[in-house]
Amino acid sequence: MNRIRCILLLMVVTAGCIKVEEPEQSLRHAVFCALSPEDSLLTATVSRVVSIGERYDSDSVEIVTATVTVSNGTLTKQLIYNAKQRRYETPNDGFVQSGQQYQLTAQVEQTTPLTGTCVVPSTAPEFQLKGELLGDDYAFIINWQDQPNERNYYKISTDIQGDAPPPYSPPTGGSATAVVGSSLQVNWGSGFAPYLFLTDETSDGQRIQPVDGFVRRAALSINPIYVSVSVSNMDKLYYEFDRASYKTTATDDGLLNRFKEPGEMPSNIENGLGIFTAYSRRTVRIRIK
Amino acid sequence: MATFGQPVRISGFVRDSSSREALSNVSVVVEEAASITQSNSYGFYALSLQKGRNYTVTYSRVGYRGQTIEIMPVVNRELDIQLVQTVQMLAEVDVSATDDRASRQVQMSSISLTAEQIKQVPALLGEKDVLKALQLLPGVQQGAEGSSVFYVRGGGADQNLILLDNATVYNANHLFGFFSTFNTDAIKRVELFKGGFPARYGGRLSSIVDIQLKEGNRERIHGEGGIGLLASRLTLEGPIVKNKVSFLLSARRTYADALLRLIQPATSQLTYRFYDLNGKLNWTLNRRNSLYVSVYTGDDLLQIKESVNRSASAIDYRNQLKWGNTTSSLRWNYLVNSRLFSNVTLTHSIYRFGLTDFYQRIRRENTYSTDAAFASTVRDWTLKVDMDYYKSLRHSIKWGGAWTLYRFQPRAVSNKTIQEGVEQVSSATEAPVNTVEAALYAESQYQFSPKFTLNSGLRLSYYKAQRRTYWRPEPRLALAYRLTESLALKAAYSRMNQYVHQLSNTGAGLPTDLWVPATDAVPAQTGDQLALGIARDFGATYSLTTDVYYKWMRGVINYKSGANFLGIGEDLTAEKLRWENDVTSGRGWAYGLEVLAQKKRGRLTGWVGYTLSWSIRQFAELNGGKPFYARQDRRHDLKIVETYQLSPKIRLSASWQFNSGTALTVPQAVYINPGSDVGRFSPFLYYGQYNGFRTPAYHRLDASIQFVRQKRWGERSWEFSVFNLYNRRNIYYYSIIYQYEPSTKLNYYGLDGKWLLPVLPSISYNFKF
Repeated sequence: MNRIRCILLLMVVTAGCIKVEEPEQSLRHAVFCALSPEDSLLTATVSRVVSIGERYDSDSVEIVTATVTVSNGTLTKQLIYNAKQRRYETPNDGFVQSGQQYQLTAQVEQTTPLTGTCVVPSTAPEFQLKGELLGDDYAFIINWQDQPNERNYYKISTDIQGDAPPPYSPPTGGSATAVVGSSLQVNWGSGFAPYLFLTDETSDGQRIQPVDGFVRRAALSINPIYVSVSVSNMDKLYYEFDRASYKTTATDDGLLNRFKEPGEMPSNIENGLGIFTAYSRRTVRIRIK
Repeated sequence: MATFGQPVRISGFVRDSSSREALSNVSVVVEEAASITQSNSYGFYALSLQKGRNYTVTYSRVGYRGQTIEIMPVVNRELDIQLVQTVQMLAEVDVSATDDRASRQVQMSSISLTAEQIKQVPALLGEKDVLKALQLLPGVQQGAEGSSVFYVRGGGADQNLILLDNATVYNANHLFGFFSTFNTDAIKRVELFKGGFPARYGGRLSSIVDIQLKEGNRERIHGEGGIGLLASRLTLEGPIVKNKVSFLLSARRTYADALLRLIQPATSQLTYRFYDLNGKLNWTLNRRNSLYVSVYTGDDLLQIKESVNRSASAIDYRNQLKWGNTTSSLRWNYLVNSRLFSNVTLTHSIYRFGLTDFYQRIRRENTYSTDAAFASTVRDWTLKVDMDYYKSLRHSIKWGGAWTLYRFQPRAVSNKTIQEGVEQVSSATEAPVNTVEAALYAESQYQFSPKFTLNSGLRLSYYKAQRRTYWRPEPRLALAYRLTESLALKAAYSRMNQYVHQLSNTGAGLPTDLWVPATDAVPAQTGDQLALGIARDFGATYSLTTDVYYKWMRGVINYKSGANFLGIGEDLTAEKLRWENDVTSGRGWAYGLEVLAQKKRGRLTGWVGYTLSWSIRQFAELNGGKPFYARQDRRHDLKIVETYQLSPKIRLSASWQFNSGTALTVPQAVYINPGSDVGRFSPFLYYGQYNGFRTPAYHRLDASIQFVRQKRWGERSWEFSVFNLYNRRNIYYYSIIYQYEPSTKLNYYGLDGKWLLPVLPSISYNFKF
């Protein structure tokens, strides 16, 4: 009897052949870098990953002594830490080109370097922007022809700029009016949001459906008023990362969030967290008032 | 006419002597032939004996006094048997299969419980619960704290087929799982299969829970009920035409909503209620024909209302969760001849879930409001035919078929936003999906010798949804070999297919039962299970069973990382609102060892169950494609259930359970982007390995004492029970907390383990007449 029982137990133990790796050691650092041919600077930030339960101040997690480089295979640029801007940066000078692949390396002291690669997407499309002021409201429409044979991931964002009377003047005072600029909460047809994400994953090459935007009370208190609309052509990872960043808030513990699965932020960084990505942006600015 | 030595057929029904209800699973032992058979689900049995020989036939069933008769069959005859319930005040706790002796059963990995047995187990707030009684058995694990959700042998919660009078119950939970939808007073019997599935069952990978309602007392009006702290219940049953037509009506309802309204201010209210209604009509047309109609309906409703003035804003918040099942079945039993019994069943089942979420903020003349709604339903219609053929004393055959039409409406979402006078309405509804599932089966049980019995079967399952069609054979095999009079070796293999999935999120135990079909994009689930076991009896009092099992699963599904169950707050277009976009399909493995030691007789009765198990999943799109432990992976699981009959009027019961921590996916770290170009909201959460976090071990002691007294009108009992006697703080879920200390400028992100159920004493009053 005992022998039989031992055999059965042995069968169970030896059957446990599906190997599950033990939880890995926490990754220690994160790097964020997004390249754009239109930007005059290459910028990156490096930070320390904080364990749950650890108290920290925001300044202490910023890594200011890292060695950050971006390479296109033939030329390597080192990004230097700018304390005022709290980031690593270096002039672009035409270094970032659409269609080209780049590699990022961030070395923090003696730890294993953080690395990542990305390909800069094609130039953002030219688009038509038409709009009209309807009382204090502003309605606009954006339209462009998408390139065939490639999957594109877009983000449309808007800004409003203008001269505004107090209380919009800066805290230092001295000026009767000040230039203000802010992201707009635009009604994109599915509710108000500062950005709209679009992809042609299922309709490659077809003309993007004209995008309607509507800004409520856009013209209050500001004169003159300029509206800028930007269309960014992003790589897929950046698109998913940016969308996820809007959906994920660390402490949002409401009832509806009980129905959401935990979501890891997309990352392409080896030996760490964060993202190395690229986009191309085109902006049209028009005066509406 | 049969001559000497020729077979003679003895057949009939076994019934309760008091209520005349048919008794299933009654062991019918023919000593001279060393043969054992059982009455079927409708109390019918048949024996094939040799003419002119003397036989000793014993009929026995747990909770009933055994009956032995001597017969010398000459001609085919009908022999109906009535068994008398044990006169003991309360039946002994016993979870054995019906013949008491575990070593004599061919079927392994199955357990049968009666309502009386369920009522002896201590329960939360005194509400006896069939599913929680099952959770106290080895190989069965509970879901979240206090929940009646259960996992069997490492399978998912959706891999359990729960049948109520043959109709599928899709969501068996009330009050977020704290109670099951089954009113114990209305239950006659429940049978759990964890493995070695007979071919007549199919459709789920991990378990079959077959619950039969009482038929209704055919002799006299009988009632029972109870008044508890949370709910009250009443069951009435009796004859409409004596011994011909009987009925059963049973109702249960909470009064939590009324109590909560009384103690809460009108501006901030959380109310909750549930109810169950069971009805059954049993009509014996003649000896050969019987009709049964059974209906169940139940609903849960949770409402949260809050109206506050904050920061010069008037805020109004209303939230409502509603879910429930309705099942109905119509059965026709037809005794074709003394050897062939048929059952035709027509069932309908529907499960519905809905949520509304309204928020309004009025600040000066500006109004902002959102009004979101979500709905999901699944319904099915099933036609089933089962035939039982008693070929000889040693050989019985079952065959039949089933045809089911499903209609799934996984998600319908709408959202209305009003901001500064602009109304924005968006909605999306996933197109309903109709699918068909059908099966043909045959199973044969043959006793080759007094020592060796083989049950073999084949189920051919068919499924069609959209453009995908499955034809899949499912072989089944179970064998038992008796090494000695009290020691048997058993083995079983079964393949199961499952064509419906349940999407479950890993958050708090909300009723996230989104049932979806296998489709073109998401395959069906398939599982193979191999089990080996030993059963040993130590006299009539003690028994020990040990099973080992290994289960392979393919086509199991899981939500993708970041998926939103409701779809509320997402881009609402029909194309984007496809549940297939949110899930990923993969593989699973489960294996383990189960030990069950029972003491069946005496003043002290009960059992000790231990399970050592592993449950693992692997999905290409989760955890970097590497295997990870399933949420229900719990290495050790120990349960002790004991009842002590202090006197005929007083009984003490206690249960203690321990299991290793649950595997969860919770944040391991946070990281921020000091700049602002990339990533709009900081910090980001880092979860690390999927289900890489373990909650602390779970353990809990419940105890109760029952005082029973016979009255002129019947019987009454008081029960005092304590749930979680030593106030163990078992984790229910984790929430993420953020703190900022302005003086030190320190930030803090932490996990806050929420525990839910402290020590809870309760009292309940029960009666029978």
